[in-house]
Amino acid sequence: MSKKTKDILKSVGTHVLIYAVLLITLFPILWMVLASIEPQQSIINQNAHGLLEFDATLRNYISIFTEYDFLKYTKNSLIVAFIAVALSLVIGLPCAYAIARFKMRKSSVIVLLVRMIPGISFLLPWFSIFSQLGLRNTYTALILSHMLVALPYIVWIMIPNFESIPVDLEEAACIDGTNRYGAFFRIALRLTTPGMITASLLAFIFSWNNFMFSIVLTGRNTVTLPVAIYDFVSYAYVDWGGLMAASCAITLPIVVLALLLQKYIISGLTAGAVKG
Amino acid sequence: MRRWFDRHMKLVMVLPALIFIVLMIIAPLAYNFSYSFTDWQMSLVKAPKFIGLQNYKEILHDERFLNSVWRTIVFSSIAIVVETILGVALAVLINRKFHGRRVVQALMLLPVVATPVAMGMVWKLMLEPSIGIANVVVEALGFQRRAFLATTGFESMLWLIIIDIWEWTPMVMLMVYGGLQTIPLEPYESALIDGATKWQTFTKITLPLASSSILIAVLMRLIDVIKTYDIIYATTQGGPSFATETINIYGYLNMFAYYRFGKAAAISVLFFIVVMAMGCGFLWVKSKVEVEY
Amino acid sequence: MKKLLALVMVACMVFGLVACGAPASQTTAAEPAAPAAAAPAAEAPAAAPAKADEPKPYDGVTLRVILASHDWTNAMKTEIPKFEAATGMKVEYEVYPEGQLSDKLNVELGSGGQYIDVFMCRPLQEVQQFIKNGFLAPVDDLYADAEFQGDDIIPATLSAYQLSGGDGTMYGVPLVTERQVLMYRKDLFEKAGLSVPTSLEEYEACAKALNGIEPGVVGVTMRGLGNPAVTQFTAYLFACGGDWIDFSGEHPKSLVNTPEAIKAFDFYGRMLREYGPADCLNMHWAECANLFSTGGAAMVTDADSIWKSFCGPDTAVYDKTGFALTPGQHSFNVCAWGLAISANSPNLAAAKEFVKWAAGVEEVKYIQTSGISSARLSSWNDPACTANYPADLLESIQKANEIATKAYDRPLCTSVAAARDAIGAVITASIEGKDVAAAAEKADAEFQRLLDEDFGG
Repeated sequence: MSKKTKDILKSVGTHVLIYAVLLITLFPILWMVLASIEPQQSIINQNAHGLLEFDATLRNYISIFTEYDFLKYTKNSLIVAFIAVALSLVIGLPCAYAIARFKMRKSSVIVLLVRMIPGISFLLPWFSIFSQLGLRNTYTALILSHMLVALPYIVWIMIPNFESIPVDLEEAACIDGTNRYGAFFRIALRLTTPGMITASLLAFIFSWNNFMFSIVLTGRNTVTLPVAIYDFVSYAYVDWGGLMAASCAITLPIVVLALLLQKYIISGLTAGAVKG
Repeated sequence: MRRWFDRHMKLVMVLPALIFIVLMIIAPLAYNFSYSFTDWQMSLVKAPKFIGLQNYKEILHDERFLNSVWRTIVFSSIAIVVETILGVALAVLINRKFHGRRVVQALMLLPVVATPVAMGMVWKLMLEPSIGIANVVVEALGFQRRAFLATTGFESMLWLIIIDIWEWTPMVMLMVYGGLQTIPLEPYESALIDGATKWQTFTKITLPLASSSILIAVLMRLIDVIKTYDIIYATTQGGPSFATETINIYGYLNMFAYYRFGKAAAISVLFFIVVMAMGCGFLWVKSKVEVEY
Repeated sequence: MKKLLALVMVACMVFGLVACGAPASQTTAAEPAAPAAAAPAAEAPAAAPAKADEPKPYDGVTLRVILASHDWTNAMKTEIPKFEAATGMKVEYEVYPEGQLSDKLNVELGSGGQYIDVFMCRPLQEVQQFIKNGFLAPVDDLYADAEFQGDDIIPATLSAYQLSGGDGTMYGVPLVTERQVLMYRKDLFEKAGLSVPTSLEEYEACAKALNGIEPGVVGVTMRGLGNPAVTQFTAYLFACGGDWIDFSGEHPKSLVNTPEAIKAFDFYGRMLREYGPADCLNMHWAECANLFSTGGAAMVTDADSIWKSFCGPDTAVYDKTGFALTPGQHSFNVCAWGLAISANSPNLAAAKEFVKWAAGVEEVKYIQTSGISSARLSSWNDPACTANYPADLLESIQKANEIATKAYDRPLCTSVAAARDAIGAVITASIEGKDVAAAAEKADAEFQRLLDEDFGG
């Protein structure tokens, strides 16, 4: 066998293997999409028909927006995630900068610990505190809890970003007359825009996905999407079609973000694994 | 005033985040900690009674708790080992030349970023013994129908581990892949000249040079995997017959189904201490790795 | 850094003290709240339909009501606006599925409950704990109100809202009742030449004969998932002469490993293992309903209140299904869902008005007509209200109502969820063909421990 045929074979093998892995990875998601356009009768009778032999229907989708108020839930999810990320940036960026510039190793421990604490410990205390402050059934309570999800990601991802800015640049700016706060705003923040996009994206995704805090802290008007999924599981019936349509609707924005901005998301997920 | 701000920049910059963390985290933890010494059952009319270490004693003799600890360890370690091996293998695979790299990478991301509760529901539907696709496949392959998540043996746990592996292997893969791309070409060239086999190149060059990113990936998984919650909540909620009950789920049940707030608080305190210890270990290892790197 | 640490420590300690003190101070607040609330309720005007130009009795009052996603809730959605129009009240309701409902109630009531007015719950599951914890407002004055016709409510279901071993104070109103019935495929029974089973022996013989009578059809299906199966298992426990708790002695005693109970565990497990679906260990009622409604099982026993999921008009087996009493003929009649009022509700009078209306004779008749098994005798006795029930289902329900001696389908203790988990493990072991006696022994010890905790043994 010549080297060329060997190379071609190897390349074919690589492609087959990679796309097979991709198919396995995507299968559950494809199945979700498929089930979301299937009528209930056909979902619960999988043996009776071939995989693709069913009357495709958009009824499940229509029902989640008409019978259930998915537009409102989407709006709630967006409001909570956006504001939580924005506020986390406001308090997280200076914190990450200080940790990076003043080499506060110990403080970064706290940030990481925040990410690791099991969420159930917070639920009851938060609820009673928020109730006493009159924040029950408000976005404020939800946003504060989601900031706890967003903040560690932002700080964690931004520390190496700030570390990678040469100190000389900031010192030069200081000599030019700005103080150190000015250097932070004009130099550091400007140079780490890609890092900020990455951090915000990830924080947004994990806030969007959050279920545990939302289930306890949402009220009638602030229900977010992951909580709304449970609308389809009732005492006497599991509406699988609606459930899958709802799952699709929740996942879709994230999928779009992931496909459009994959570069940033990947660099965020791998933050800490590869230096700067 | 301005001078003060200038001199204490460190404090000024960190303070907002610190205040937030103290209010949102330390306060609830203190709340839990103080209740873990009481017998409070969430009653409004019976004040919590101080019972010292009773809750802790009870937990450490509670077979269900000990089993849940054991299950958490088994779940975490198997998931991490498999995710690491698969993740490294896949990273090496996608480091080869192929068409559609960007698309493949983006699509592989989906399990990591998709809403876990929704994904749990999808897996539940697929593995549903009477209506799921899984049993259709199993029958088509000529095997007996299976119950998957509906078994009290290890199988239900195994399927949860598989779901976790499905969800997180891509992240390990991407992290390791990132590490692989920083490896310079020279060592490979000299290995080629020395006539090293593929396996030798992999173990002698690739692995050592990617080791720091592998280690970080493992440690990142470790801190997330022991508190896996959404997936288990959506699929089995710890059942059948406690077969998939991890520490997190058991603590949740004590708080939300059994009304044993004192006991649940004690469980969360113990869980917190373990996580804390692991976190410090994590940072210690990370600092070592970074120095070598 | 050191100063900061000290600050944090102080904050923690202060907070810890406040936290520990909170429930104690709520104690004093809760006690006077109950009698004080009873007074305005008595003075409150009756819900006479107000004329449009008159000021309505509850103008400006907003009630927060937490409901379960249940057919009852769906049926009431169109009724609530009428109530609002008549009273001037604004009813803001939130709907949650069973599991999330429990979480929500637990967190909100546990932290004071001053933001909930009325809520739906499963009395046998949660109410004992709720009463002990002071979550519920007593509603004796509602039962004393002649308009409410409290004596019309099926008497056996009332115990669900009283503290067991207490003074008989009522803490809520039953809405939905359940009995266990046998649903069977008439066509398959005809094909096999069988008659409807009445005893456990006949039941087993039928299951054996019907198992595999058509390809893919199992003899019987019942809940196999441990915790949920407990309520369905209870009918067989009673049929075997067993019970959950012996209240006759000084301390309540677990009966989980008595010979009668072991016989019942054995029977239940054997039926499912030998003649049931292979995957029954994960089957809640919804999975059983999937199987039966698509023609995959010849018999099923479950709660009559959800018969539509098994064989309602939308299913493939609607006209092929017959109903009968659960074999063994020892049914119970239980209150599955009901309404209660939060002890610290700021709108007690309005909340009572809502409950009085929602569980009142007229609304219940409407509910019963839409196919939900109610808790009022008047609607069961009104043929117009039961017209939607298949004749043999109605007959079985009425027979069950007559013979039912027990009003519980799970242990009557406080730690119901933990007890169901422990007992469910025996059911699981039995289905798997493991040593039932050993499993029962273990569950017995655990259950006894829970009873000692609950009743201060």
